[in-house]
Amino acid sequence: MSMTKRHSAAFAGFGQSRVFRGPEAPLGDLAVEASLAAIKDAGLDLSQIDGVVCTPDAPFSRGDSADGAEFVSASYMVKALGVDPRWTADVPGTIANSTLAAIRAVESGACNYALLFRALHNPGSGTYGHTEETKSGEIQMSGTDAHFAVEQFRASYGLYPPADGAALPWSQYQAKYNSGSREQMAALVMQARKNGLAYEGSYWAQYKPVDLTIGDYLGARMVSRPVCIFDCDIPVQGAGAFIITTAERARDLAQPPAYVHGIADGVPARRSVTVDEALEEQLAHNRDIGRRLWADAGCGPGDVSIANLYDGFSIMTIFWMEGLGLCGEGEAFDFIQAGRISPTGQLPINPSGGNLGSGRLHGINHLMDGMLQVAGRSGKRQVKGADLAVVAVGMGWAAGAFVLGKDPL
Amino acid sequence: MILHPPLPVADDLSQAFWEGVNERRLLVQRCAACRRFQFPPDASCASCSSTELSFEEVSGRGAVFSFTETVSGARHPYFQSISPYLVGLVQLEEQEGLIFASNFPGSEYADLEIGAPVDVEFQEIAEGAVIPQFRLRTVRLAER
Repeated sequence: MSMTKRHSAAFAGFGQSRVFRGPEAPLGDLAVEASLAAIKDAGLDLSQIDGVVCTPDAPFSRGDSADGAEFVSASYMVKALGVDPRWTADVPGTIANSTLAAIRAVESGACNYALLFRALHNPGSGTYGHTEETKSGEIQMSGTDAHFAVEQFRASYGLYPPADGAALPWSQYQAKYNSGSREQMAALVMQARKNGLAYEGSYWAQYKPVDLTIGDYLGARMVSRPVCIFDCDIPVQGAGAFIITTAERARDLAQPPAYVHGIADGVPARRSVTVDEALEEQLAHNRDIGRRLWADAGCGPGDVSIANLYDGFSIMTIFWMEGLGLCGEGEAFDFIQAGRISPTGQLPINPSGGNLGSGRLHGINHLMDGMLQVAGRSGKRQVKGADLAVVAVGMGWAAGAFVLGKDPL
Repeated sequence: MILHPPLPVADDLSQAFWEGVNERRLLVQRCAACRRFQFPPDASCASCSSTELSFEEVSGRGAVFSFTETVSGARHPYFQSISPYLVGLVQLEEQEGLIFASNFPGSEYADLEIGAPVDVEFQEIAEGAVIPQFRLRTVRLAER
């Protein structure tokens, strides 16, 4: 192994806004609230923020939506805070993509203290897409459905990502491995809710602080078989923010940092099966990211003490477990049983609840938990001996993975 | 209010495909250099990058690749009005990765099984708008 240090960045501060089910507070205000909290957490002054980066993409088409209302851009934040950064960027995808950019920016010297934020809007209508009646009386979709060329081959069948994008590979998984029943999945979803209830920033903890029972899960409204409503995260409106700086600078700030040990991303490669909804595609891409991540971090899946794995849909966590090699192929549903993924288990997964247990803040919860756990800052959620965390956020091209450590490289 | 599924909108790359479908023929792009098929149509071959692509009629025979029953959560009013409905993917026998969407007309959720053989048919979803569908071969035989 090369002795050259691959990374010199660290997470030095975190802040989260209030969280609402719908647009009860302006999104711009929430993004500013989270950002100011992160800056304060790190013990920085506004004048020290010389980088601002975010992923402004709403989980729906931006269309004619407004900066500060339905999405929040880096330029909105620059003006709202009155800062004068050397580096700014709006990075498409998920917060994984803007986090990777922030790490690379501080490591390249583009900035010293990057404010990284992500704000998620929920229109409150229950769905991000909406329908419109045209003059001729035709019903048309707008929002996510008409915006990709591939939709001409899907929309006429009522094949709608993202729920069908979870249901279809799950059905393949069940047939291929003779595993993956809803009874098995219940263990993961119930644990996520339990973990989320211990996190004060969770939607469930704040508004509906009740455990999910096996009866609730098995009796739940089906969305797209085998996906039920509790396999889907609940859309919320809120924001989270992080301070990314160099390891050297982080040591002098207010909180113990989480050091970046490894990062990975990349667009899905050329393959014989290229349909987004195919099990083969989703697993292969997660494996590619895993291969890059472990090579970059100089460690392996057996070395991490906790995992924060994206769970916008429950099946995504299964695909990350297997893709990153945290368990064997076809074994994830067995692995998640018997408390192995609980905060005191063999491999705690999403100890702050992830999306399923805290609401749809798109990976903010996963990065927050990984960062605070290795820094020893998780309070009542602190996992003993959590000194190396793997965090995987998103899917497909909008994905990224991280290894964060208690100790500097 | 006219309720039908969203209509496919052809682009430059897919025009030949949709013209074929309107004539009840399933035309798929094939690479002249490496002979691989690909769908959806693209500007270059996804296997060898060649741009020598042409459309060729395929058998329409395939197998269930994956499936679900959308019970709730359909976004379009047409699909809300017919929920629950079947939707999934089929893979044509010509080649791995040659994958199409389908609603498996004539089938129930319990009939579907990954790998079960299907055949293409063509469905007019609105006046002048035709899409390929794939029907379980067992259903087709039973109806005869």
